[in-house]
Amino acid sequence: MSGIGLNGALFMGSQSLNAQRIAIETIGNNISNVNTPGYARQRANLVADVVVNQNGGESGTGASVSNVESLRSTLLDGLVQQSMGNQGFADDQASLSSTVQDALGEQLSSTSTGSSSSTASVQSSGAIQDAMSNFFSAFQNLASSPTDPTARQAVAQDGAALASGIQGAYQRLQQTQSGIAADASGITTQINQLSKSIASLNQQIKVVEASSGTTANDLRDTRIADTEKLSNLVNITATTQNDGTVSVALADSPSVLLVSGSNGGGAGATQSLSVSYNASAVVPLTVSGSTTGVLGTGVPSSGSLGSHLDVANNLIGSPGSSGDTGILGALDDVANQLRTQVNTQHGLGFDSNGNAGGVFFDGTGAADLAVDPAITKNPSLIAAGNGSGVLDGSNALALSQIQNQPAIIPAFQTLVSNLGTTVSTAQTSQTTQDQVTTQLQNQRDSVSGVSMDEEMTNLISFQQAYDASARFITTISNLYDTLINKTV
Amino acid sequence: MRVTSNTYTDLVLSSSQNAQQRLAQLQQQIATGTTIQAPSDDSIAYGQAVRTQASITKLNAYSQAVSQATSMTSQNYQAMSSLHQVVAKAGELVSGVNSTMSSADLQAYGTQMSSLLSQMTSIVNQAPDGNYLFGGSSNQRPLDPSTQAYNASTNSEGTTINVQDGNAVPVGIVAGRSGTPPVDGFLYDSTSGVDVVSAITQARDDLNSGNITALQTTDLPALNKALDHISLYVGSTAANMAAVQTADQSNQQQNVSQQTRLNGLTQTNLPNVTIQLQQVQMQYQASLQAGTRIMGLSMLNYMSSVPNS
Repeated sequence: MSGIGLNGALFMGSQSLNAQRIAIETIGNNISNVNTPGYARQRANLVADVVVNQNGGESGTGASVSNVESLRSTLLDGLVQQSMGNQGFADDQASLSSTVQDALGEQLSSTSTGSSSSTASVQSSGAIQDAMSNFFSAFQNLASSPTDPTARQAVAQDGAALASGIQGAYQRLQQTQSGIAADASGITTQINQLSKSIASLNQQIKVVEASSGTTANDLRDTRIADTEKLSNLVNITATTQNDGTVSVALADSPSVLLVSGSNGGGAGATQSLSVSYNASAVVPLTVSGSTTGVLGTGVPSSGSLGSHLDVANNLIGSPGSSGDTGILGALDDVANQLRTQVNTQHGLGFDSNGNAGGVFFDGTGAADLAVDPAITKNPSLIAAGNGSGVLDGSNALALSQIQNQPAIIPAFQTLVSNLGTTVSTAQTSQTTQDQVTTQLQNQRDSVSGVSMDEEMTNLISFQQAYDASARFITTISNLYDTLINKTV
Repeated sequence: MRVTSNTYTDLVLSSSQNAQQRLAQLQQQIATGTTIQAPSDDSIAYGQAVRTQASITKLNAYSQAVSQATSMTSQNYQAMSSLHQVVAKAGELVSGVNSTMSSADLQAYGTQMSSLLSQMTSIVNQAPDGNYLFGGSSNQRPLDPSTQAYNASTNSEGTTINVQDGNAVPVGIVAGRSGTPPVDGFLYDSTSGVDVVSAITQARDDLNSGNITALQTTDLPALNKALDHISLYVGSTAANMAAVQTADQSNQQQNVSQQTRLNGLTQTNLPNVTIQLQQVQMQYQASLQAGTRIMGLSMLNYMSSVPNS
């Protein structure tokens, strides 16, 4: 039995120093990236070197690093990526729908006159709701005092306030829709940039892995982080190819490739995305692929971009003159019903001079609803009576009772309530989705996350091994010294 | 499950964010005194609150109508009561006539009758706020003040005021007039043959001419019939006045009831919310303290003592 000899032992000590150093470097890398998004902890896998079998005995030759492994779960990575798409949709849905609710401007407001709980009372139900109540109450007052010029003036002014309230809400909603379209355009720019970035990483990973024969852990981590960012913006399907590259396509429209090999964001067979906005179109906001053209209605359906499409096209919707959908359509319907029913009843009555009533409201929808200028200028033209005399206010009474028509105040209240339900549902979904994503991320972190305590413990362990290896080399060196200098 | 360094950070961030959101929500409820502001806070309760508020606005509008109706029905009642007194006085004068009276006595009665006629004209032609109470919806003076002739321009449309949904109270009752077609009212009624103006005018003329027979056989029955007719209007105007008062009470009760309902839907239960606020504050504080303690613990604190041989 001869063992590996002093030379072999010295080499073994050197190998050990190398192995411990690589392990310590890996720990350093882990510590550095503890807060890097998408980073997966790495581990230097130590293996025992070849065993020398000599004259009936086995002798180890030390240890070395076989590879540095990135600890990942493909399943959890996939689930997190999918969840990020839902998260992007839920986050923006909650935020955007809340903005729409603010734009409509219907909120209860109250005054509190003291510290007691019984002193606060609701003073306002929102601009349009209040204006509607005031307008019909003004007609009710006019019915009691048809010769009172103040009562006539109140009807004209409250009518103008109502028209202005509806117009204002309509304009705010259109501005919000336009803002959402601008946001969506920014999102497609980010999608195109991320696609290019993933394509570039594909190329780098392919080159590095082919040349070194090892896994490009950090590049793959960066690609996973970019893929998750992309997934947060739009729902995608990411497929890993045999050459290590990842192909990315829209989940709702698999023929629209965003990344393929080293191409992305419109290069080669891939497509870049863009949005177009037309406020008066049936579907105001659409997404197009650079070669496919306009994608189908509601595509993409998830991610941040999907949420922008949903809120712009379905929640805010389109005017009554085109698609007649969403809140804009409903507001147009309410305005048209208000104008038609008031004008019809007004036409049946007679003004202070005994002339048949004319038009009370002008316009073609919510956007241009206004009290006829002749009435604003001369409220005696309001047809309060039925023609039997100036003290008759029966037509004003009939006009005040229009508020009971289902298509006006109740329809508007339903619109506001439905919007409230949508916002509330979106907020609940956001909370739920937050929890789902957090749980998945925690699960993934349990596999891939860096624990400082764990790294510190390992650091001490490898540091001591390094120290011991150095001591081992010193010992072998002493043995050489003994052999060379003290045997003669 | 393996716990990593970021697990604690994420947990502290998430729990502090949740606590802050809840704190902001409770703070807003306390500051505003209402639990609902935006429709999304509770869309069902919001809808109910808005409908209740609209109902209160409508009731407030009715309270203005009630105020005006109260004033007008009161004026109607006063007018009918005064008219009743005038006609009753006219009847008393005529019934006091007997064959022993001299023509001078009769003419003195005639003068009193003329005065009653003027009073009646004044009552019938009253126009508070410039609108004739009894001229119908055409707002015409019912009687010529010098000739006491009926105004042919008055119409038969009385005016009403809605004091509740579907409850229209007559506030502008019609005096009526002879002519073609006649208009029935409290001065003239074609069905019963009552003509108050004519009855008093005829009595005055017969007193002045000393026609005792006509006074006793024709004028007195006509005046009695007129008195009965006016009595009906005194009753009906009193009923209208009572109807307005009843409607007013009902509106006020509804208003209180709706206001209570609205408060129940929207008002913050201050003691309850204050306790919740304290609970969330404590949770928030505990979460921060626990997070700080756990995150402060690390192997790093003990690394300096590692021997470096």
